Amino acid sequence: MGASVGIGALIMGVSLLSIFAIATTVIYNQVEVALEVSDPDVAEEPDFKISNLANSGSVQSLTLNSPGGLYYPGTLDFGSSCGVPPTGSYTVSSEEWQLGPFLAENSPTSGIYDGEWFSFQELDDEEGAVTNWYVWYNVDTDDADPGIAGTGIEVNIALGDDATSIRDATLTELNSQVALTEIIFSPGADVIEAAYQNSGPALNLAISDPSVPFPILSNGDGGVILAPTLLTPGSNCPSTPTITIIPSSPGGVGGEVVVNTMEWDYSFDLTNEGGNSVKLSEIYSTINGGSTEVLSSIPTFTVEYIFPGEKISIVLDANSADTVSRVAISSHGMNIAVEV
Amino acid sequence: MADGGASNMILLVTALLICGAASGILLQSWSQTATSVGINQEQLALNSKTKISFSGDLGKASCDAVSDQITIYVQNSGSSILDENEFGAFVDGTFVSLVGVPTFLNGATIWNSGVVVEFTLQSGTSILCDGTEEKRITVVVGTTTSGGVSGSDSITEVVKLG
Repeated sequence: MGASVGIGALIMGVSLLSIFAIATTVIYNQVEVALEVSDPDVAEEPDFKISNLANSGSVQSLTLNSPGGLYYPGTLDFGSSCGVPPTGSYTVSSEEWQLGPFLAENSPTSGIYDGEWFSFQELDDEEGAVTNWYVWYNVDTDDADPGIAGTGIEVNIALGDDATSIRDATLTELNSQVALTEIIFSPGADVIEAAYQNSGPALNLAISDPSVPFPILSNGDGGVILAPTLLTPGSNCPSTPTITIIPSSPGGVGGEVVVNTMEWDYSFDLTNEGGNSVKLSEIYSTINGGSTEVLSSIPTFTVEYIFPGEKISIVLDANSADTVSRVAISSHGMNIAVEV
Repeated sequence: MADGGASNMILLVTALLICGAASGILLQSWSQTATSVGINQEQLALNSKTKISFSGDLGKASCDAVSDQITIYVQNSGSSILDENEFGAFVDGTFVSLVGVPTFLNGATIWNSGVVVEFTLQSGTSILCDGTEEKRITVVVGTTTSGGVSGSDSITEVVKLG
């Protein structure tokens, strides 16, 4: 009987101990969860500040709005607003003309070349140095030099010379001038063709008589802007630069070259004003309301975190055709944005 | 005496049986209670570790007025792993469907802590994307199932469609 009472007490004791152990475990778990709930393992909302948002552009292409005239070739000035100013140049057309067809000396009547002349201007270089020339005809050595401005070239012909021989005699005299080197003279069909080696403006070909014995067949103006060339795109331009044409010699009117396309990058400073370090890969940026991407910079980050009080500079090659007007930064519930 | 001894023995055996049965019932009920409380605790713990936040530009949310679609970005700000397919969204209180499949940003393949996922929502009403319209967006997400339980979190933000 005594043993039975002992067994019963043992059963009850073990049962109560088991229940106590279970209850203790439950209470422990509840306390643990309560601690987790009161101090959850979640990211705290960081506190950032964006400052110094700026566009950084570079010129990608140019457009010739107006070719103008009377320009010497030269350079393009993009102003001083860009950190590294772009550079550019432009070319201009070369003067060219055709004189003729030459008439025969006796067509329609003899003596039509007596004292007749034509004048032209040679471009000695592409920086404004010129030489004036004129050619005059002495028929049977009894005509006088007209004495117009420039260096005279006498062409001796005879009564009754045909057009070809007069043209050839003229070409011979032109090509024999030692100082006349910047114009290539060549024969056409009873005409003389002149092609200038240097580009730029020159006084137009002029003749003593508008109809006979040698009319002006064509006169192509030099000094018309042909094409602007972008040499270097520059960088850190806060806005689209305005271009000024700078010829190698003063002159020129009506020409206009403008920027056709810009490529925009942007930069800004990001300061951690919160009390926690934030992983850079958990910060996201949104440019101009476009797609959201993880924050990046050029060169790439060499650190993993931005610490409290730390300021980092973000420079991005956005390759955007438009300027950056709005940048938003978000991370773990913090959403901020700034606009230019 | 012998009669008295037998009856005492019967009483003792009966008492032992009742005692054993009571112990068994007590242990079973406490075990069930502990299991139930444990599951509840795990649920509470997982919920406390589950947190999401809106990412992207709330003042100029990406959208498409032609197809009436709104793109939102949701970041896992907790420490549990979220399931991108356990996702629900409401625009101005109306449930909206998801367009396409969610896209992980930054090369992630699992919705871990810190990872942002892009969702495209199909609005049931016409939207303007000119910076004049504001929408109240609610997002609900769930975690991957762990130990038979899964956590969830929701967030509501007003965004300006730009």
